[in-house]
Amino acid sequence: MATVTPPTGDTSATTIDGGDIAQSGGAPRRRPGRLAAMVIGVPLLVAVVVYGLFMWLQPHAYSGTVMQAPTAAPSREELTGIDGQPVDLAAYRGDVVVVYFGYTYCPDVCPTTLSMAARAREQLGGDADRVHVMMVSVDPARDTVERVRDYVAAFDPSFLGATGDLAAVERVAATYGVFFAEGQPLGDDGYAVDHTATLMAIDTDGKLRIVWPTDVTADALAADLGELL
Amino acid sequence: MTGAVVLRRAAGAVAFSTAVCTLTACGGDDAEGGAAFEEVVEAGMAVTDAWARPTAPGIDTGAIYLAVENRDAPDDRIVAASAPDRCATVVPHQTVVDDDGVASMPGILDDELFLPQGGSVLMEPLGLHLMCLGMGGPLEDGDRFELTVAFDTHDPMTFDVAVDGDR
Repeated sequence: MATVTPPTGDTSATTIDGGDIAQSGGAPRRRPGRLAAMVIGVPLLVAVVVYGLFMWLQPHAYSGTVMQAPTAAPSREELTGIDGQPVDLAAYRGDVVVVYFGYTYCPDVCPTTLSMAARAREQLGGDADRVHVMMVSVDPARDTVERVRDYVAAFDPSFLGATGDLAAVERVAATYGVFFAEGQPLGDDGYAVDHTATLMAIDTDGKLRIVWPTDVTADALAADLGELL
Repeated sequence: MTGAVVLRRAAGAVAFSTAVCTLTACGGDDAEGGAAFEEVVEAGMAVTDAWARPTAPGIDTGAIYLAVENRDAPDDRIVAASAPDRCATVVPHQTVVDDDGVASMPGILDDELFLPQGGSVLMEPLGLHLMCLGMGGPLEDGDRFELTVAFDTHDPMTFDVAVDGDR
C-alpha cells in the first residue's frame, strides 16, 4: 500500500512549489485559518494603532476644574510661612504650588487630603521637586507657625504651611474663594472648623489654574500635576 | 496551569487566614504593614479593618476607621466607643462635604449607627469615623491599640486598631 500511494506530505510539498492550489493537499485546510487571522488581525492592529495615536494626540483631560481665564494667584505675603518668613509665591514661579486650606486639629478631611497629596507627589518621581503643597491654616487662633510646621511635615517633609492673624487669613481666604467658620464643638474646649476643602493649583506662570474636589484620587492628582509641569 | 495552581493556593491561604483570624481575632503579627486583613466576629457581629492614620507630634485628635457588619445578630446599634490606652474620649463623627466643597462635621444621627440584621456601618475617610480626642501622644506608623465598641444589646467588642501610614 505504501508503495502505491505516496505520503501526502511529499505530494503537497512538491505541488505547493508549483503554485497549483487545486492539487495541494495541506494548503486549502490551512488557508481559511490564516485568512481569518488576517481578516481579524489586520483591522485590529490598525484599530489599536489609530486608537493609540488618537489617545496620544488628545489633550490631557484634567480631573480638576480648569479655570477658563486663569488669573494671577492672590498674594499671601500677609501670612507667615513655616520658615517664619512672609509667604512669597513669586519664589515658586516655574514650579506648581498646590494650595489647601485646613487646620491641624482637623481629624479626618485634612489628613485624608494631605496623605493623598503626598502619595500623588511620590508618583511624580523626579518632578516632585517642582510641586510644592502648602496648607494655609483656617484656625490661626490655635495654629502657631511651629504647630503647622510639625503637622505638615508628618505627611511629607517637603510640605509647606502658612498661618497668620485672623484678619489676614480671612482676607487671603476670601481672595481664594475659601470659606471658613468655627463649627461643632469637639471635646471639652475644642471645636471643629468648617472650611472649603478643595485643592487648588497655582501653575508655573503663577496663575490659579485648577481646583480639585476633596475626594480627588492620588492617581488623578498626579496625572494633572504631571501635565501642569 | 501554573496560574490555576497559584490561584488555588491563594484561595486556600485566604480561606485559612480567614479561619485563623476568626478564631484568634487576628492579633496582627503582620510585619509587612499596609492593609493587613483583619476581622473579628463575635455572636454574629463582625468588625473588619480597624485602622487610623499616624498623627503629627503635638496633635491630639485623630480619626479611627472600621466597618461593622451585623451578619447574624438581632437588630442593634453602636452606642459608644472607647480606647482608654490612647484616647481620653472617642466620639462617633461624620464629615460632610457640600456642593461648594465646604467640609464640616455635623452631629451624627442615630440612624447612621443603626445595625439591622444584615446591615452594616462603614466608617471611612471623608465620611463616618470615630474621633479620638485627647491622645496622650502621636499615633505612629505600625502602632496598634485596643478599641472597644459598645452596642445597644450585643456584648461590647474589643479589637486592635492598626496605625497605617500607607493609606
